[in-house]
Amino acid sequence: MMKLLAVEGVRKRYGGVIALADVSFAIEQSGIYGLIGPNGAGKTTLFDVIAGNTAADNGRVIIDDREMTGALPYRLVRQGVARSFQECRVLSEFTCLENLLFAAQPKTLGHGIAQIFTRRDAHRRAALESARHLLDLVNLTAYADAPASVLSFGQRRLLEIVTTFIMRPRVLLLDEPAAGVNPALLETLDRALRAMIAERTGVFLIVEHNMTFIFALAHEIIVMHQGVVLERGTPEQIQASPRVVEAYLG
Amino acid sequence: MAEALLEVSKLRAGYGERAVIEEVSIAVAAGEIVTIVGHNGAGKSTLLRAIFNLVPDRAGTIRLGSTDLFPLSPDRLLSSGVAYVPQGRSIFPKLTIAENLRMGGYTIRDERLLARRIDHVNTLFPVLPERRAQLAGTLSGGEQRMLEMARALLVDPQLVMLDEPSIGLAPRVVALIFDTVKLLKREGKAVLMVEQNVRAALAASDRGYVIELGRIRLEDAGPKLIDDPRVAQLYLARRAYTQR
Repeated sequence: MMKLLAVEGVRKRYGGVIALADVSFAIEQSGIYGLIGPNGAGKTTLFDVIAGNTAADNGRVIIDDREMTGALPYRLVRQGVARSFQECRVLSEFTCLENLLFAAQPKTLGHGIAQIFTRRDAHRRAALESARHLLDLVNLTAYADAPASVLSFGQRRLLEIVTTFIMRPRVLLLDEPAAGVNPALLETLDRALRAMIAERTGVFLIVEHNMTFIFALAHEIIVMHQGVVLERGTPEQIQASPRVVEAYLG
Repeated sequence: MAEALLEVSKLRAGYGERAVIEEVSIAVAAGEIVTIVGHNGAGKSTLLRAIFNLVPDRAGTIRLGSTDLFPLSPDRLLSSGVAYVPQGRSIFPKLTIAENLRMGGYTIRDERLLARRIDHVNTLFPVLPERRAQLAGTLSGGEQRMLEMARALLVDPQLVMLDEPSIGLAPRVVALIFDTVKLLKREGKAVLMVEQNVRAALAASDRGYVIELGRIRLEDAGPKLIDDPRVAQLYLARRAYTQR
């Protein structure tokens, strides 16, 4: 079966600190996957390795059955990898629609930034349609032409997340998307992520500390602890795992 | 619990519109060790920072005995009996251990009083005078945490707040750190610490609270919480899951 996302024997050390001791897993089924684990387990480092933001010391990264070990972020973006960061990153002086259109620039051509706003070609029409659809998914249609700065924190998070999706990535890495998002918007986020994954074959890998949110959303949970994969299973299996409880409570 | 020394009631704190903790009410009695445990991002550090007036947006009440702490700036909090040891290394690595201790007494004008307190702290932490001329950056991680706690004692606080004192330390050193926390208690200090090293911290504590998503969910005697299945349930959101 095709490996949508796989890491094999990935190690990463920062000076004397071993962030990733030996991480291996393969994801073949399209779906939403939770990546959890106590502080310092190596979750964000693993994201950095998969997205090309840092090079692993050893091991391989496979995206869509192609080995992408050591590829730079721009190449990984072309290969269909997108990510969000713990800190919310939106362009607050641009409108919500513009935020999405920025992200929708063709990644394989050396287009100038300005062209995306002036050229009325098929790409732009498709991008516009896609952007409006995504704004609708997160109830931001009314804010399409408003600057992102008027949005609440939670709404900016939602905008950021649909922005990462506009190029229809094969592998979407979300780092704590629910952090600081109020309960009403969490429902919107949950619904939007389910709708997004239903639109295509791909992997959403989500680091999250809001357990209620991720256990309800994810098809499967991968638990990291001290730089290795400790356990993998359905949310029910993970919640019943004594090893996972041990890892959290020490 | 005896009469509260620190009393925090309905505290809400956050950054801009992003509330990190809500409706948090906790109490610490004189000479009591209280630990708050919870997930990464649950609001533990924000709670301590909010008590020490380091968070921009706050509402609620914070009292120490009869003193209203809420409006006080961090330097006034220090002189009102609250010491705070933040997470991560807060020592001055390029200063000597003796100089680091003097920095802890920066607000003390009376040189003789300061000398007396430094002497006292040196008897509590014999490793410090042995190395008084050494740069603090050359101490081990555990020794640096001890220096921070020793330094916090120089203002003779009633309450010492510790943000994850055991983080990043080897298991053997973790035990030493919690022994040091008990030493603070023997010195008559109340201790409020937040920790992710759940079981070891609770074992060293009189009482514990579990915070989840910015709210206090559970409170009990420290040793009782260690084997309380509700703690694991909170950590893995089992309750919420079975509701669905």
